[in-house]
Amino acid sequence: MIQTNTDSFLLKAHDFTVHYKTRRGEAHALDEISLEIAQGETLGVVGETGSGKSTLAKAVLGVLPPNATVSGQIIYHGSDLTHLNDDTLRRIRGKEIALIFQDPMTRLNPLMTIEDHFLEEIQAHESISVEEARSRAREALVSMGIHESRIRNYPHEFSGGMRQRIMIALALVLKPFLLVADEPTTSLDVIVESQILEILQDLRRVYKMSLLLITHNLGIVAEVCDRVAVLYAGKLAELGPVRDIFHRPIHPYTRALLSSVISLETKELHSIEGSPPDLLIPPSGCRFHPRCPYAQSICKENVPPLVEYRPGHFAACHFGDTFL
Amino acid sequence: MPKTGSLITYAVTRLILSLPMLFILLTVVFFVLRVIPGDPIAALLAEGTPPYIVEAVRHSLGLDRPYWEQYLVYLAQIFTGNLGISIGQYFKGQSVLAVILQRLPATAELTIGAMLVASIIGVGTGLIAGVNRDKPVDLIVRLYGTIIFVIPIFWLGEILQIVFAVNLGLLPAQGRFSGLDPPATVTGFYTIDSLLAGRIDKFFIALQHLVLPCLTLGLVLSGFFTKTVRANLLRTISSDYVEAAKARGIPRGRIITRYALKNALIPVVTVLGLQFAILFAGAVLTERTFSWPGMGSLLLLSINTADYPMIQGTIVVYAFIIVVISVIVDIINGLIDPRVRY
Repeated sequence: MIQTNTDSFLLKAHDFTVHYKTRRGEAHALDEISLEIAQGETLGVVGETGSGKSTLAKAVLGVLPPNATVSGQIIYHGSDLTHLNDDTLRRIRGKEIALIFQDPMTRLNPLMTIEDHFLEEIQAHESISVEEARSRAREALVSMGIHESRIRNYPHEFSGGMRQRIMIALALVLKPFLLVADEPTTSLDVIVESQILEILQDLRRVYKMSLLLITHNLGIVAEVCDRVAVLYAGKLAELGPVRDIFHRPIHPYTRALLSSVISLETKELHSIEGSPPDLLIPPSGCRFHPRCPYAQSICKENVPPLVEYRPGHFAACHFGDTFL
Repeated sequence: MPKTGSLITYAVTRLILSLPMLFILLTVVFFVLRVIPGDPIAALLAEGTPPYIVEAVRHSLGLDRPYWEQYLVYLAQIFTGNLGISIGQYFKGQSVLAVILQRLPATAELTIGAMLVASIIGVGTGLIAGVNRDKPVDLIVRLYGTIIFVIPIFWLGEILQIVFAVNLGLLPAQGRFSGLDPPATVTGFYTIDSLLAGRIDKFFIALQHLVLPCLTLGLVLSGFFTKTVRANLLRTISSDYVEAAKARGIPRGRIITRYALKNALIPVVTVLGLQFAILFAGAVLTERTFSWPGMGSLLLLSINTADYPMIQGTIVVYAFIIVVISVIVDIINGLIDPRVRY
């Protein structure tokens, strides 16, 4: 396992906040998130639907929808991504930080061949000859297990799993430092899922690439990640090494999340009472308090700070000490 | 044998499939014209004509035969290029096809010109509005689209006539040609014929006459095109593949043209094609405003004079035009969208 050294981080979010303006008011998608990813590290981000996971992925790339307002910082190579101009940011996207999405079926331009997707991307970032770009495109495609004879095909001629592999090939053809994968396997079947996870792990080893893996699948997190960040309703609930999170969780939400996985031994399935909060009017204090079995009056009144309970293991709970 | 998915296979298939469509259209035209009230013979002859003469005329026109027999004769005539002889007071005794072929190029010139104006303005403004969603320029374009869409054609036509023909004296107000003799008929298109005859002066006269009618019709149509392009562009701009392209660092200009606009054009081409076909049926109001001798005024004239062969012939020609245009639209869509070719 790679040791996390906070001085050698590749990307660091500091008090990062994203609000969406909607017709009904402001949705607090992410609130004062602080975390970092080290070189070569895989950081998992878990949480329920609506916890802000996808917002985090898009925010790192600066591809949030126009109704989003951002505050705080995302530091990358010494500069704040939220303050870079459009062209500088464009040069980073795809070249240094790449993103793969949840739904591969709709992510490719239906009117362009796979080869055109590659050529366009390579030439948007590097001034190399078409011939060289072509051979790199073929190489990337073949490395994902797709025969090079299919490079002139259109997206609709591929299955979902193949399209996701094409998306990964597109994301990796420029050898980025950081790959952000937003639920890369959610829409795929289990066999394809394990293939894709294997591919991602191999790539990390080969390229020493950092991976920000966003998922709601705790099994994947346990298998692939070095550290885990648990998001709840746009707030960071807990952050720490994968072993600590799984074996010694602190935050009641993390505990509830872990026990909501069906166990083969007991065949029991616990669910978390209540439903995720409305992000337009998030609960006061600790956002988990309406659903927390241990909630006291302080949880309703004060926002719990993120406290380091063990080396590298943070949690935001007023009663973190009692859950150690 | 070309593989499936090739454009040629698709185009050929599409052409073959258009034959049943044409057949159905021609059949509908035949029966509708016989079901609607009105008797061509009564319209043809003066009141009080002796019944035996009425019967004789009916017999000579073949209208006393059973419908199925008339139908077979009708189909046979169409496929031998014979649309009958006019019985109306203006074209009595003339070949219907000849009269139509005289009028069709005038309509084609007007329609193509108007479509060019409408497409350029519609796609241009729609693109500007879609890219700058909710900014002032978008609001201005949307306002333009709505206003131009509801302006009556004859009103706009007259305003343009007053400004450009009467006040400024820059352009002719009416007709297809003036001054010199029209160019010798080869295609019937004055613009093409004058060029074929090597007469640039005549070409410019024909072109000058085209400007105001095309501008009038084109401007009114452009409002609808603007709205269609804008709406489709907004849909594709917020699509998943545009977001993914942005995340790959593709430059914005390329995303707009290769991703958003090209995908938005697929439904637009279909709508444009339909509009084109409708225009061929004659832009009656524009033709009247500019005394343009086109298909719309021909149909109106035939209806007023109960010239049934001419009415039928005109509609049959429309049927052909609609089939041809829908094939062209499908082939263009096949050219843009590989998914259509399967």
